[in-house]
Amino acid sequence: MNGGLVPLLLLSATIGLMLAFVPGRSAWFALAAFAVAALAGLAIPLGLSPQIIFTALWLSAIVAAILVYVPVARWSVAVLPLCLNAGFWLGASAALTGNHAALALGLLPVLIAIPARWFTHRKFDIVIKVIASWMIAIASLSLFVSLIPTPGYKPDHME
Amino acid sequence: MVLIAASALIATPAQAHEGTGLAGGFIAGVLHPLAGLDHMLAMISVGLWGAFLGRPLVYALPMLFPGAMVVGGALGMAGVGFPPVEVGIAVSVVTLGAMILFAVRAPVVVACAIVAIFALFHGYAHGAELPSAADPVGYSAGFVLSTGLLHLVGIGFGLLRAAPAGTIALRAAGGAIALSGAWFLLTAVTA
Repeated sequence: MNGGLVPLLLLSATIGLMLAFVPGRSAWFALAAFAVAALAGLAIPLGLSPQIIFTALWLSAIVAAILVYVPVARWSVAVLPLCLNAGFWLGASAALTGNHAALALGLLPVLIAIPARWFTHRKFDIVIKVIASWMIAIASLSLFVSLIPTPGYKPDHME
Repeated sequence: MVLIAASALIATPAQAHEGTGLAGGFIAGVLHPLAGLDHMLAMISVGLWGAFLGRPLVYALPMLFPGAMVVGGALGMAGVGFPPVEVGIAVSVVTLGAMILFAVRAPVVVACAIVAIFALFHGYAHGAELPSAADPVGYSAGFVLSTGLLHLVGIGFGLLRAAPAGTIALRAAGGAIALSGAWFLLTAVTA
């Protein structure tokens, strides 16, 4: 079962880690775009299967975590589209839970950007990079396990 | 991270899988690398050896390990054929312990290659078991986090190098790890 709150929290936290590398004002814009897109994703009925939504969610998290290793100057123009995309899939995943409070909770970890910026400003960004490597691993495994039919991932009565 | 961990603790997988008999969830994932001494010693050794080698490997090795572990995990999930995993894991403990014992200062590329190859074996073992887990997302998050924390424990021990006789103590620990690995290897080969 690829559902619940954990995927939302992980995507949100990963976006927060990515934003720690984005210069001040752009980061705040991106943060706002992430939240607005999440609301849109919650409100707009997509009619997509949960598998597609979670695949998009995990791919968004992997891309965001990989960008942590790339100098921000190379991808600064993509910050806004990335956050809009990730926010949308976060909202769509929250809609699957059937509980709108999941969105509010799911958005909270993006605020990890604030303490994470403390590290990046002091050139301790290696801490963020280590955590990003964990995020890549978790997101990749979750993606694989949802794509490879296994006993643990057989759709159950909740899906 | 605290929020994620707390939510993962609350959102246990048992709601939809109670009674299935499948291991699963965040806690099971956290405990998995801690349950096997061979896994645990290898993870700690990665951090310890990285600390011995200094920058950039002190952080490159723990960052590389999860990525390579995922590749191995995917191979395990897909049921792709692989050399004997238990032997590979035991060899990883012997090798990493020996690297610490002899304070081998391997070049960056070589150290990364060694750790990546061993991570494939550890990942394969996890991946082969992951499909039998309920709530594989929570399980994945748990064991990746646990693995990362074991690396940090290794790096923490590695800081003892700065203390008087710290290097000798750490190299002795490497020797003990290598000996344990030799025992695991013997067990794996004779099983």
